[in-house]
Amino acid sequence: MPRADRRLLRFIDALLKDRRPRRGPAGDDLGAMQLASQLRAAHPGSSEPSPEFVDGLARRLRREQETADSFQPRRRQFLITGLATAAAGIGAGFGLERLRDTLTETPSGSSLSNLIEPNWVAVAKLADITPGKIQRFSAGGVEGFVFNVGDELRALSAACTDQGCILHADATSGRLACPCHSATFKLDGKPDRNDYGYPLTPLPAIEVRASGDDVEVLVPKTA
Amino acid sequence: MREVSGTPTPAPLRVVGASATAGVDWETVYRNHVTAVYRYVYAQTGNRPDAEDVTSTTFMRALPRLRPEVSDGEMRAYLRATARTVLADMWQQRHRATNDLIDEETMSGTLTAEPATEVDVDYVLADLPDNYRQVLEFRFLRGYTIKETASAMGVSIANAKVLQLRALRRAAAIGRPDAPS
Repeated sequence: MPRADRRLLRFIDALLKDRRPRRGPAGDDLGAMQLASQLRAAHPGSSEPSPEFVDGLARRLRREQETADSFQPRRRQFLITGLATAAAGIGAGFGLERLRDTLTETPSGSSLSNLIEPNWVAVAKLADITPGKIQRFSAGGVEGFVFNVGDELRALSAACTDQGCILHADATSGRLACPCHSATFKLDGKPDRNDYGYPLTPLPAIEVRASGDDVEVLVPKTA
Repeated sequence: MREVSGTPTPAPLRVVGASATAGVDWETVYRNHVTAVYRYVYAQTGNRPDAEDVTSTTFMRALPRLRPEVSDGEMRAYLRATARTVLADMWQQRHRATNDLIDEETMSGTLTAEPATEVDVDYVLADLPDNYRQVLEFRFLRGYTIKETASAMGVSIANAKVLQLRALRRAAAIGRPDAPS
């Protein structure tokens, strides 16, 4: 039996015994492994947390909170140290102002920028972002592209909304292409090629502005 | 579970049980959200030890960092985003893909980025040939052993093993341009 088959079999066996799968490269089977996890979760009753776990974690959180209470100033410090996590979440495909839209569950009119500290960061020289050029940037945990369309600056997340692969820019066609499953996006963020059986969500927009000679994007402030 | 002021401006929401001196009652927040986070995480990991670890890490990271006045919806969104990050770290650390899928340059972005897109299991299954759908239903939804599955389908154990792998790969590739047939 091929190695990849044995690996996937071991993975399935672990899940069906409710055990942690072994470490090891996923190869081409990352999608199959993730789907196996989702199918497993559809097994009735399997995805409820046990009362012991819920209570145990509550105790841990209480201890953490008590420790935290002994440090001052508290809030500010937590906000700053928390940014790396928040930034990674955003890098995973959420734009600052788009998180709420993506998750659709926020009832109030506020956005993620209420939770983390946004920060304008220079990522390119204005003179370099000529029409037709698409420049990659990485700032505040956000992977993105900045470009110029009709003399208007725009920025988009560079993470494919399918599985988060980092897109490649094709300035000639004006498309952002995913190396993983061949999806492409237009420069307005909308999915272009859609050979999938389900629609991909558009790429989140990132706020961008010109400031002096620089092009700046709004990303989470990092400590 | 929360009080909402009557003002028309974005209402500051606060968690019932929060005292003026102790800040938010984190435990109330935790109890309100833990089941939803766990279910989400379980659907991405498919096993209890991982689901418990990821859920724990998510709350340990996220709870102290939230401003006390955030709404339930924002809390849910932030917990979800944190869980996704923790999950992505787990997938990368455990199943770091070799370069047969992607090159080294895109590596970091690829697996750190996102756990699997949430799928509609019924939709995926409905699109499969009968024997593929059956083997996945028996194994995953009903929890049959490979022997029970083989017996129920009238095939050999070796056949059932291979069939479940093919079915899983086909299902994972449904709709993708490079789908194996």
